[in-house]
Amino acid sequence: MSESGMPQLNTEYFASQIFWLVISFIILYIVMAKYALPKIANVIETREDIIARDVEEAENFKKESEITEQGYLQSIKEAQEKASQYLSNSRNKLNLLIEEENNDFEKSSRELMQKFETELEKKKSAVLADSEQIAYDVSNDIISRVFGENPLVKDTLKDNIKSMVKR
Amino acid sequence: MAEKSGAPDPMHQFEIVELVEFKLFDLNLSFTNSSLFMVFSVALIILLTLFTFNGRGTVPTRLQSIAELSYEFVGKMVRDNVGDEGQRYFPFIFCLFMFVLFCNMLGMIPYTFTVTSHIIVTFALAIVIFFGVTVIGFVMHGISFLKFFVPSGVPKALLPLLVVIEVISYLTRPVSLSVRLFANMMAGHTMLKVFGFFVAGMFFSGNLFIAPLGVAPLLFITAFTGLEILVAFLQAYVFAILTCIYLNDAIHMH
Repeated sequence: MSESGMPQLNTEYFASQIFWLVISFIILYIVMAKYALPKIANVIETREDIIARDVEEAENFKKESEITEQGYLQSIKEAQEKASQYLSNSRNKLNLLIEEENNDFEKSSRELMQKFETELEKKKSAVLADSEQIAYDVSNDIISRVFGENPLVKDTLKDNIKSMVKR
Repeated sequence: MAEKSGAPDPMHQFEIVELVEFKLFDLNLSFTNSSLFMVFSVALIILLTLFTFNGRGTVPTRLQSIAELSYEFVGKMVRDNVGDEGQRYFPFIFCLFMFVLFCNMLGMIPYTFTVTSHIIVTFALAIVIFFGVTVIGFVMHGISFLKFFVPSGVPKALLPLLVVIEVISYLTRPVSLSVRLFANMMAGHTMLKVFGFFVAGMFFSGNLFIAPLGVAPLLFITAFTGLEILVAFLQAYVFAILTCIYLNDAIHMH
């Protein structure tokens, strides 16, 4: 059978090879074209649809989450504004209160001061009046001890002391 | 493998062996080892593409991925080379690619028979493609398909010569297409066998110096087997893509 170098050139089985090639290839073609390829195409298409749907869904979720995030940021901003408003409000109130208290305090302290001053003035004049009498009594005592009783001296002394005190 | 008499014959692997005798009139249409591996290939392709799809989950199984990858690979090939009009011929190109690929790959298993290492098989495929493409050309363009052989934009004086060259190059397409595949497969397998004989011959030479050197051809055929697997794929790809290109020529002219 293998007298020739190449079995490929042996024409004895050419017909058989072509015959079986045609048969097997036609069977292959029919099965592929009718069943296998549409099935594969269908599976791939279905998968692509699923993937596309999932991607779309994911995009929707993303959009939704972005909206939620924006709302969240918005509410935080509002809260911050509100808080700062509260803060400034209460600061103003506090300032007002402090000012009021201050004014009250100033007023009352001024009144108190005035009261003390008038009292002081009164005391001072009382002391001054007393001091005139004391000075007179002491000097009169000293003079009368030294020089003896003298009504004339008494009067001049009184005048002198009066003028000294007045000064 | 080697014949009992004389030197081992690397061509022995291409021998056709009758398995079931079958005669129609005077023709010998016996079921041979070649037929067996054609049927094997077809059966494997059908198994791969039809029975690996369990359910239709979003995540494909491994074998299903192979089927889908082949589908998309050939689909892209047809789309890129022929365009939308080529979709009608996609099943044929797919069968062609898968059939040649599986025949080549099955041939890489030791002790198997390589269907595509026989010129008559590859030539039969190529001649069908040749006639099919020519018929498509004439059906789509009518008699003006003959303009395909007249290159545009050349001096009038050169036209007769160029038309002859174009016609010859067109007519040799089936030859080049079939011989390329057949020669690649035959040469690769012969080479593997020859080096296999070297390994066996050296290891069992009984010579202590030569026997260890048998490792060298062993390493070589190991690497060469990898290369041959690449060639097996590449030749199937080339066969299919050239078919696409011929189809494109017929559909779009150029």
